[in-house]
Amino acid sequence: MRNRAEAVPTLLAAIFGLGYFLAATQYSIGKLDSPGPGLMPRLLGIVFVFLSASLLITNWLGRRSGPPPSPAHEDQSRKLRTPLQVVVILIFYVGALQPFGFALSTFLALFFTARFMGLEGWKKPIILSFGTVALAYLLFVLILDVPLPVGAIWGR
Amino acid sequence: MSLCRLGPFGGDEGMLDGLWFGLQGALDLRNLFAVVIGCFVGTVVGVLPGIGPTGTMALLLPLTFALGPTGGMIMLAGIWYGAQYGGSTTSILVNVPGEAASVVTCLDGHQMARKGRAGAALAIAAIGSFVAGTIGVLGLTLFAPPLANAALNFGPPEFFWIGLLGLLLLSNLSGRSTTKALLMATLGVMLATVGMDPISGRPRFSMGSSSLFGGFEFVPVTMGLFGVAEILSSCAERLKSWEIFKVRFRDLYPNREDLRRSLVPIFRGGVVGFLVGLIPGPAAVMSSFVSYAVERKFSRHPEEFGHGAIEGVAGPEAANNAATAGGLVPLLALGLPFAPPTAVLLGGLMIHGVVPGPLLMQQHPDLFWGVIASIYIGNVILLILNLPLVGVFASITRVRPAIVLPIVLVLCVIGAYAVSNSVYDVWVMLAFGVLGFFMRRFEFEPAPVVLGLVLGRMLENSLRQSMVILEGNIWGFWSRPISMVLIIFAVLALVLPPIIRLSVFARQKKT
Repeated sequence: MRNRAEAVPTLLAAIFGLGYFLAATQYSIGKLDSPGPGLMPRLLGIVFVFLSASLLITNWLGRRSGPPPSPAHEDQSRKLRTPLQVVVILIFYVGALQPFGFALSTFLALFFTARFMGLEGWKKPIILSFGTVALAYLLFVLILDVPLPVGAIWGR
Repeated sequence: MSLCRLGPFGGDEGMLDGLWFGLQGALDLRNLFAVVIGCFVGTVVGVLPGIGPTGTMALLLPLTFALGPTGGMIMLAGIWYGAQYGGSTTSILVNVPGEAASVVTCLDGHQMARKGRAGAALAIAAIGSFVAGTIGVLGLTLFAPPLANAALNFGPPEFFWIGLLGLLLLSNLSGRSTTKALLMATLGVMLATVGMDPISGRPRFSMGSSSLFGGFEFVPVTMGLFGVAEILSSCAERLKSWEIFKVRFRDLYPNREDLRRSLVPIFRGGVVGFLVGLIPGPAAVMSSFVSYAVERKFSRHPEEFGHGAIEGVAGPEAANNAATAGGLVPLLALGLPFAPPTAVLLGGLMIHGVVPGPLLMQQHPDLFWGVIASIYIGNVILLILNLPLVGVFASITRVRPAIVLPIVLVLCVIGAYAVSNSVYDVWVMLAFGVLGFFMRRFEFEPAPVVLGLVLGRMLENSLRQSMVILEGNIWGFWSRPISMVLIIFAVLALVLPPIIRLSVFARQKKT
């Protein structure tokens, strides 16, 4: 394959499309004058598989429909490290929203995200996290009346 | 159909009546607040490199619930055209385009700044944006109502074709690869099939989860694909603030020669921008490049281009502003988004239960005319914001991304949660954020996914309604005259781009 990097996502897309089409077969397609809920999903599944397969084939033949992607950068792992760190923090953050509440989980998430993004020391990340939580609470909870999660561990 | 034509300001009443009605609505305190917020936020995101107007509009979608549909749309539109104003500031002072449509401004704008003429460049960019923005909104006022009236004869088959046409057009022009864009548009329509079937009431693809019964909400998906994905992508790039040229208020006066040389390029850029804005695709970016090429061709001093020619700032900056107004014509008149920001605007309308399309002017004249009138007000606000306060906005680029990005992330989480006070929506946003990040890495455009999600329901409903109306006679899809025209456009949208690409490739090979 000429463009190996694209092979995996395109293959995954084709498998996803196939799975979607198979799942769509459990819904009736109805008749021509009274189409059922399965008609559109089946058509979409076929189009999706066809498009991903054609992308896979054109990649294989080395004739992409657009110009080749920009050359790989020298430090790919560094480029992935920070986003992955942020995603991990976000997973813990969203998971902690209900049990620990908005204030505590946001404070911790902001603190670690700012640190991973390169905000040095302890003072600046703490000020940023505390200030943002206080402002967000003031704006969204007190002014806009958005019922942000309070936290199950606090008994509410 | 005749009843529809009797709606306020839709048919026989004059455009001036409609505009006056819209102006009254736009001057309502809440809507005025919305236009100020939109213009301010738009200028800030225009100034800040890395955060685009589409992502910001997606992030602020939940705020539209507090402002109502008209106020919400006024604010979102303000962000879009406000970003075109702000984008020039960083291009001129930092040589980093704050917004994609201001890339061309770097060429001559920054050269002017290096020669100590940053103030004149900024002033001409702001004045040009104001004049062209006004030309664009005049065009919008003139073109959108008759187009919407003409489209009143559309039935379900025409809506099916128009939905398909919208998907094909944006897919063809939003990215490098048509196949990839079509794949993403199909994914968007597939996402729209998740949840309760609107006709039979049976849940589809819900995998037994009650959360999926309602389908994917537009807000968390869009916030994830644009907002979170954009932040994750920014994390992968440089996380430093930029050094900027200092500008004093008294430097912001262009001399008589600057004004004389800029006058015609500004008007020309306004017209070019509006016309390019009517074409599907990244119109603001395309219009600035087209305008730059036109100005260079018409200039008496083409050798100055690239070395600080004021025409190279005036024309493109005027064009990208007029293009946003042009892009609103197909959205407001036909419900067709021709550019990614208008896809977000379309979604914003739909979350308020407003169905965009030819009937928008009749059913929601307050919204239709309110948005148009607010752009006139917005242009004045932006001129005020961008001339005396340019130094303040420019200093925003000194704030480190390590401070800005975590705050934006928290706003994303609050925004997604606030849609239905549910952590489930935040998980959806996060999942689509990660998907959007990898999509960008592999050059899959997120805009067609959003468009597919927005148009998906309309596409399926109109297909099924048409089949019922036509009693299964599928030939009826292309036997109606309007359908025929739309099909011809759809086929051209599909066939023309590869033919053009092939002919350009063949010509390049020959030379």
